[in-house]
Amino acid sequence: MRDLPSRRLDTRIKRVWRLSALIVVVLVLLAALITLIGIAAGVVSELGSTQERDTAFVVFYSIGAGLLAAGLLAAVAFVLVIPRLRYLRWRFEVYEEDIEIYRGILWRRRIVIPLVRVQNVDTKQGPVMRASGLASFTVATAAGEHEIPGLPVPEADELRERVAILARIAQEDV
Amino acid sequence: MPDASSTQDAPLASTLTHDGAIAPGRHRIHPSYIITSAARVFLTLFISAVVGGISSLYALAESLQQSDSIIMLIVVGGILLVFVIILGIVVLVSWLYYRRFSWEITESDIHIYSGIFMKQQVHIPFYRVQSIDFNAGLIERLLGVVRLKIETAGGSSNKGVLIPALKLGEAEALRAEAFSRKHVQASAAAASADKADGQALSAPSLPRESGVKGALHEIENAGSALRGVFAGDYQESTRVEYEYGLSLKELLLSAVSSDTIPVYFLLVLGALSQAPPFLQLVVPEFSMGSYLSQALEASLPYLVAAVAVVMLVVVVLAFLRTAISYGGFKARRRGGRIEVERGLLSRQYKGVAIGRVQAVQVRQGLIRRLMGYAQLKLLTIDSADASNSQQNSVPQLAHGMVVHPFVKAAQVDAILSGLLPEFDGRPSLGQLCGLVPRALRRSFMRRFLFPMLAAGAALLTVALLVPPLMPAEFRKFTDWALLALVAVFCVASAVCLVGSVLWYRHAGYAYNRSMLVVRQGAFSIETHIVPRRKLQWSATLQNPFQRLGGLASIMTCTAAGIGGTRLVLRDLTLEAATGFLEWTRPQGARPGLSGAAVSADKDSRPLSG
Repeated sequence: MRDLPSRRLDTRIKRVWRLSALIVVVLVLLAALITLIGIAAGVVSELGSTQERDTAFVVFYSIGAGLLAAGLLAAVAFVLVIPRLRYLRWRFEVYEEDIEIYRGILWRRRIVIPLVRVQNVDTKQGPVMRASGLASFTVATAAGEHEIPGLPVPEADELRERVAILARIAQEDV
Repeated sequence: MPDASSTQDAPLASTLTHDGAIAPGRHRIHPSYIITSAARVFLTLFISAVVGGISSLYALAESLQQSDSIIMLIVVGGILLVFVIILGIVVLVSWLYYRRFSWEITESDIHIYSGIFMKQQVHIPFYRVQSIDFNAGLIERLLGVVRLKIETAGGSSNKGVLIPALKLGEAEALRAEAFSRKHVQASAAAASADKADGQALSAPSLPRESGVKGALHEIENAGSALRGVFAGDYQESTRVEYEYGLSLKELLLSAVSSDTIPVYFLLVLGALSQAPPFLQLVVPEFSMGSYLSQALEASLPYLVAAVAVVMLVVVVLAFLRTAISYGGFKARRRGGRIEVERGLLSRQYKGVAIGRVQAVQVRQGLIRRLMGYAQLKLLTIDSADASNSQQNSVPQLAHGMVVHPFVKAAQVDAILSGLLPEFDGRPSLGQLCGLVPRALRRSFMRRFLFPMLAAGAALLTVALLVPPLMPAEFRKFTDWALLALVAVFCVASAVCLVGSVLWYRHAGYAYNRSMLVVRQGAFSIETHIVPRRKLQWSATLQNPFQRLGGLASIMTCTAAGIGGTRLVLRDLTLEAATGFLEWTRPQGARPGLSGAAVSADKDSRPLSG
């Protein structure tokens, strides 16, 4: 029986995950706040007496504060904690005849992709990844694809070439 | 090669040559297309118009009763005129489509030219053809005409291509021709890859005048290496090796045990709820109030009779549906393909190449399991098909191919080895390994405790929050409703509890050198048989609870369906799951590395089949 895979991703992937998570959290928070301000403006303009307006202001300020707090919490979780844990848990290995991935923080999955089943391989780079000099490596089978997200560009290219050759050697039809 | 713009000048020569082969040149579809297509479109329009306008028709009729007969005549005449005009347009469009549609077989592909305003040309190389299926509606069956659908190799971007009306004989000739041409191309490609010179084996260099069948003979004579391979293949692809049908008794039983019976109950009830307004329409003095009070006054025997009638209607409906979709069912093995034809009124001829069969599913619904019967289905690679929605009225057949709707569980092995000898050598059901007792605890948590805790919490919230909000006069009603909810909750928990134990008892798996068998299910059981070489990728999964108990789930993915199908079995021991994962590695099944024995879970008990 084989050991768990041991190869890790590049440490810079943590930065990529953090940045992407931060962008998403900020965008969602902004959208929520803008919606809230819109609703608040609509409601307040409908209200007549100053007393009612004051209550409405209190309600909306507390909702806004709650949103900000939730955003902060999400930022701490998704930007600070989860990328680190995910990085610690992410392992992979490319063997002669298969690729193995082991990942997941709470729900752990260990995936084996035989190279004979690989239909195509490619490397991708988003803007954030490019800024960090990383690329993600994807293997596709006839039933979905798997991604190894953070590899230095030369390493990802080399992996792509190697897997493509190995897969061609081992190719059968579906 | 004729110019593409002169599509309307399709030849008048007959499609088939005297020896039954497809003649060269372009061919029109059967003229019955004009009638069948127009009828289909017009009926759809008509039905939607009637359904949509039934109340306005009624209002119209009412107002007409009070007005002059001349106005009535004008209105009725106007409606008729509109229908006639629509019918005329529909027929005209169908006729134009018929005029502009032609198809042709060349050495390398099937060409289809179509389109009234937007001219369209589709070329399908033979080697891309995966399946050629026929469908025939009622009118088409009377005329001996079928719709022919060509499916190309998988993927969501590859849609099927339709030739909407062909004589059955032409369709069969086209199918035979296409598959033998596919063999030629495949073996020619193989041969030219073997020999560097590849002497004149490629199909396009052949003379067209002799017809495609002639071209086949030419190819057969062209290279000695090729002829041997090809001749053998061609003989095989036409001989039926195994065939079976469905007896009337099986058809009847399969209808009665259908899983869709509850759906029919709902349908009948829905139709009944529509009855009062309908009666009101027919009998104006009919009123809902008197109907209800009469119903309440009716004594028990009437109610019982009503229930019995509903049951009878449901069973008859279910039988009709099964009889219509599975009447005259036949499945056969012919060479490298499995073919199924079925349907009493409209008929389907479906075939699949063995290479596309990814797994076999044996499904036993609750009633069928108690009767000792099962449904047998091939899970195949499907391609997305735009025309599927209107042609496949039976949703359960949209994916995969049912090769036996109702088979005795004891006969599954015999049928499979006749139809799919490639799946022989699988572990038998008697060899399945069950799960360890820890898995029962997990099954209990997963199927009973968690859902019931969630439902219970929801119920409690509703019980505490809703009644105070209700006005006093509704209190009695809410009390009853809550009581009913609690009763449903109790029944559901009992069902879940039984289900969790049943799931544990039924779950099992086995694998040997070449095959994986997984069985699971609580009330209805599904067994999947998957050849090892069809597994695309596999995984073991562990959630926190499973980690505490040293358990893991196994997941494996085949290319069946569109974009893959997953098969998951939960709660094996971690060692067993890892052992399975090792087996899925390319070197995993080689003797000496991990052995070829049936999987053995250290502390598992054998399951009886």
